[in-house]
Amino acid sequence: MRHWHLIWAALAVIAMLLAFAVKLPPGWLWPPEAMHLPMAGWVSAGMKWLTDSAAIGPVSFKDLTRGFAALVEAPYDMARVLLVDGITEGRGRRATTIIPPLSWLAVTMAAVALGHYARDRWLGLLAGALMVYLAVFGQWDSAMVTLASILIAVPLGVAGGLALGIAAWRWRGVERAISPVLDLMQTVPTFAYLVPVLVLFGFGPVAALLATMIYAMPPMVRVTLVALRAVPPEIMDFANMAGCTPGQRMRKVMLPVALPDLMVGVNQVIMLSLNMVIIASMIGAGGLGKDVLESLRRLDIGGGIEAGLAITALAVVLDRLGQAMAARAGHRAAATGSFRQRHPRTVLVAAVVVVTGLLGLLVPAVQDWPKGWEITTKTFWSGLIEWINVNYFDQLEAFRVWMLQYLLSPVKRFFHGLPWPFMLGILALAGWRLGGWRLGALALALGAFIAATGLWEQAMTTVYLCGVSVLIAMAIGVPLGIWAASSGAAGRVIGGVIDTLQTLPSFVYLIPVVMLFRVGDFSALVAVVLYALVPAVRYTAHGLRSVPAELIEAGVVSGATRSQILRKIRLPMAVPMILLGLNQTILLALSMLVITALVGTRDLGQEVYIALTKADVGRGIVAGLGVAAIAIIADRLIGAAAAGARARLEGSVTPEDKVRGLACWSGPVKIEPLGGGITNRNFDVRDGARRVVVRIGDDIPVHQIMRFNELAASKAAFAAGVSPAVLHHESGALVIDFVEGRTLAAEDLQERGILEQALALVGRAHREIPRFLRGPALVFWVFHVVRDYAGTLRDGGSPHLGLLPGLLEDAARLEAMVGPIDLVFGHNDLLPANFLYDGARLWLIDWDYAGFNSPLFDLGGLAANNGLTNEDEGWMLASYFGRAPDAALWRAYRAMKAGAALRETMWSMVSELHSTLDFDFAAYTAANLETYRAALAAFEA
Amino acid sequence: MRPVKLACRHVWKIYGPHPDRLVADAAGLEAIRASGHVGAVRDVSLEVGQGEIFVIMGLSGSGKSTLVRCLSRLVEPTGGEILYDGEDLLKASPSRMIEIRRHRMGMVFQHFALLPHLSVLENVAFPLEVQGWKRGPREAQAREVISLVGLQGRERHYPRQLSGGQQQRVGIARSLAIKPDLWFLDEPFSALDPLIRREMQDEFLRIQRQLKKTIVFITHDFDEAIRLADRIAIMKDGAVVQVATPEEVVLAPADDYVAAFTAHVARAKVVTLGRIAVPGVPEGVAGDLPAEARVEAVAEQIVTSGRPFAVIRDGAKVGHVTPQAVIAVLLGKGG
Repeated sequence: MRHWHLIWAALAVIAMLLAFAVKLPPGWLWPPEAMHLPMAGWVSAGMKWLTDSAAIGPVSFKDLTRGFAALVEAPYDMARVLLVDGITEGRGRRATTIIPPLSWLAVTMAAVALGHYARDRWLGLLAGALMVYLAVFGQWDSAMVTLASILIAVPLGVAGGLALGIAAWRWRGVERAISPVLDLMQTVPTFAYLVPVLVLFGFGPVAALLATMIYAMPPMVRVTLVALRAVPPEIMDFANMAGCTPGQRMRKVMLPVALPDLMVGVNQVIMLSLNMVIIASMIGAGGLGKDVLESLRRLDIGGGIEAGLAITALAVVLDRLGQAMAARAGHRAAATGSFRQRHPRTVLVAAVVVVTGLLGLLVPAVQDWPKGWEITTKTFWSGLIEWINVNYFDQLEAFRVWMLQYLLSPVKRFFHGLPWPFMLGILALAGWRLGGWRLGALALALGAFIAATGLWEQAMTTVYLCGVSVLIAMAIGVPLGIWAASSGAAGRVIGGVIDTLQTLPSFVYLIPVVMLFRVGDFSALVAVVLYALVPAVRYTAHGLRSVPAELIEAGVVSGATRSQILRKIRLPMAVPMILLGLNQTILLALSMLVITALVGTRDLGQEVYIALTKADVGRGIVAGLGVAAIAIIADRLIGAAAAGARARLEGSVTPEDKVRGLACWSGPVKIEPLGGGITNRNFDVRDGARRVVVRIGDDIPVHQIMRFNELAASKAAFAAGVSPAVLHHESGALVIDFVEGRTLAAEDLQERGILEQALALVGRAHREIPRFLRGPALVFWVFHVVRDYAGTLRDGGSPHLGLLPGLLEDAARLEAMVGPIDLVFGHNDLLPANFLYDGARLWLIDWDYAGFNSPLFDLGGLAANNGLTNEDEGWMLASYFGRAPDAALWRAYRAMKAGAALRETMWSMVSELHSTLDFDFAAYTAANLETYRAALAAFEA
Repeated sequence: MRPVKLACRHVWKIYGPHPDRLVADAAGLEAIRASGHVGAVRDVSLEVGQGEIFVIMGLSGSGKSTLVRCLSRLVEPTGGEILYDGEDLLKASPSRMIEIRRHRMGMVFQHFALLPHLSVLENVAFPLEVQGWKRGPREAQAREVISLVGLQGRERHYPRQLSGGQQQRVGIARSLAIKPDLWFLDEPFSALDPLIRREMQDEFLRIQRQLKKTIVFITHDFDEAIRLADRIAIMKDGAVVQVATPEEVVLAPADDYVAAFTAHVARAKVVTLGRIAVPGVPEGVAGDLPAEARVEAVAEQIVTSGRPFAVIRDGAKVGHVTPQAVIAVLLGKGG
């Protein structure tokens, strides 16, 4: 569609003019006050009502939240006792330790043992080494505070997710209710969680823990639901047959069987918890996150980097252990012997705990890594950054200024200068073009929501920063992905780096950036680019690698160079995958952008951050929903674009996609292609217990196939009891009841008994269908079809043009010989495969050529298509017309039969030119030509 | 005639929006299809005798798996009665149903349905564990059935460490752990390769000779059906087409559909001596043979002796068979 390119180009020019050249009144730049809805006020009021007066019976909401907090607080205190505080007496500085916490040796030993248990000694050594790193570099205490939070948040998050997942599995209604909530929770930025939690639970570690738990739960819910659904039905039957109660079935059968899948969810919960527990330092989580936050605030370069590296170490330990445990789940090996033999690692760790605990009382170094032995890298990092800033300040600054001046500022001016109604219009138009009016309406509605929040300017800042970051991330990530896909070594190195980048909590990215570029939009940009780079690289590499090998071989044998193969084959084929990567990049960029509020952006993230510092729930939630709205718009628009790109690559929507998309299914369907259709594609489809046949095909005017006619004929044929029921139809698709049985072969119809049944069925169709036929109907006059085919063949420059004059002359002679006719409703395509035998009776299917016609045509077709003998034909005519055929009838019949064969021949010639189906029409033409010549000879004899 | 252990009367299972109406009308196949429903089981009535191997045979989609799930009430039938020792299972409460399944029914599954996280011993003991048996007694009983299926020594293995045939032995042992009276086997050997299948069929017959359970055995393999069955029910489109002994099915198929299965079956595999015996016992018979023996099993003995054998039913001599009659059956003529 060329003109759409022009329209988009014109819109781009108009946008430029509006943004840079035209001075607009303020009411056009952002929505006027009058249009704002006081949503923040509503949310705050609702929250106030909740905390002040909401109650269930005598239990007020506040009691509920307090109780909940207490529930979480107890185990958290336990974990702290174990890892951080020990048991002490007295308070404050006078506190004396009665029982110390676990020694660094014991915790390290536990990490080693876990690594060894989960995979092998190497993982154990890695885990141990990173724990020692934490001790040596003085990060032990903070790391243990963070670890204590994770140790509590992860089981709670997993348990909560599991419970919700089970409920969603058990009750359809629960699933329907929570599914959109989960969608939203995964797009709302992390900060937005903190605000309501802060208001409900106050400032402190417990509130932080709850925020972490809630944030990390959604993937566990989804994983649980999917894992439970994947339990084989036979296993469920077994559980019931064994007499399990529903509870036993879940506990003893389903959950253990689903365990390997569930562990994937657990690993996700661990990583999300780590990410959130760091961010939650803003509402009082201690530990490494707090260290980073304070360093950022004090601009303590060395301290920030040290804490950041410690977080990285912890993340790597947790991620690798989690992955190994997930891979290991379900592979329990047989073990025999005493408890000590069966659990050597547990025994060893317990021994180390006791020994170091006791020894620690005498030798403090065993309990706590001595302060004197700690290596601090603070000065090293500070020095390094200072050195860079002293020696390379000019270059860095020049780069920063250049970027601000030539990239960031113009884009910012552009987005701030666009009038908001224009922006909404573009959103709606893009949605409509990419995914139809529903998507257009959704984009418009979400855009209007942002306009009504009164945060238009901040939202545009978010859009601009996100847009530029994504652009840069793609510009770096796509080439990296191409490189990773093109060489094995590069692929491994890049893969390793991005795997590690992905495990890092988002906070960590801020540290080096602030050190080098100070606060402001540019720093935010760099942090976002680093964070959002991963999917751009990964999806590009994946898309390039999954291009089918035959396509690349086809390129090689046609002499393409490596770069030609890349440019002309691999990249175009990878476009849908790269678009998905773009989508992920945008979502990650948005989530990071909110966190960059800490380095002084003025976007929606800043709104949330301010709301957080002021504990203003309404403001925080509304701004958070604004970010979610932007994320959803981007996600849906790009998702639709990727689907469109995929459809274009595959020629168009595949027939299977079309079948899947029909409106008559009750859920996902199972599709098997059926043979037999030359003018259309047939599928055997199972929708739950229902089994149907779907015929996919558009109008084919050159063959005079019009689907409206086929639909009307099929319905009337069902009403006449000739054909199976039509259950549903859409443009280009017909859904017909499935009849279990087999299609006939020509040999079947040569048997008198079957021919008799077939003839009775055809006669019934001829007489009965007109009684039920509705709407306009076609006439099928074979000599008209032949003349029309001749025209089509001439237009298309058919290789058979030389035969045409002779064939047309034949046709004229035959038409004259047929003479006056009776008119019935014919099937007009009586191939043996269009008869279906279900064991009891015959059915006639495929009505795409149906129309009013002489009965002689179907009779001739029946004889010609099935190789009937002269004797069979005599019997057939006699039994159809109820009298012995006289010479005139024989002549008319033979003429019609030859006409039918001629048409079949020319049908095949036309299909050689026009059909896109994978069928050898040339061979079919040759065979038909032979049949026709035989029929003509019989007529002339 | 054996006493009836399990009976079903007019059992229906129809999928679709308004199944009850169709059952009330006892609708035919056409009517069910035309109204957009699927008749998985249509008006099936059967009686399975105590200690009988009752085989339900049908092609895929014929409704045999749905029927066995109706009999065990894993699938809720749309209508009908299922009488187990005279008690209608469809009227049993959920807890009563759990009770019945825990103590009186066992089932073997096509794809074994073993729990991957449990060892062989734990898998076999699982039905007992669910009932709350203590570890000691339940493992003792599990070991007993494990040795019955010849898997002793592999108690500590996990399913993934076993071959398909061994896994199904575990499935069989597990279904027998509670010592059920009624034993359902849903295509138990279909997932195994042909050699192992044959071996497992022999194993199954050996176990049944020892235990004498009442068995409902599902298969799509007609040869398996005639090899194992006391009686066969043949299903098509959710309805039972014929119920008869293997011999009757082969010699007198109810319709063309059944005949298509039986056409290639060697008659000697199903024809019993009782059928080809002629009255009277002549002088100089070579020996006695039971009337239930199938020709295939005794043909060599009779033909090589060259003399007639007396045929015994219920301890009495009821006639004799000649080598000529046996040869006629072997050639596919007699019977």
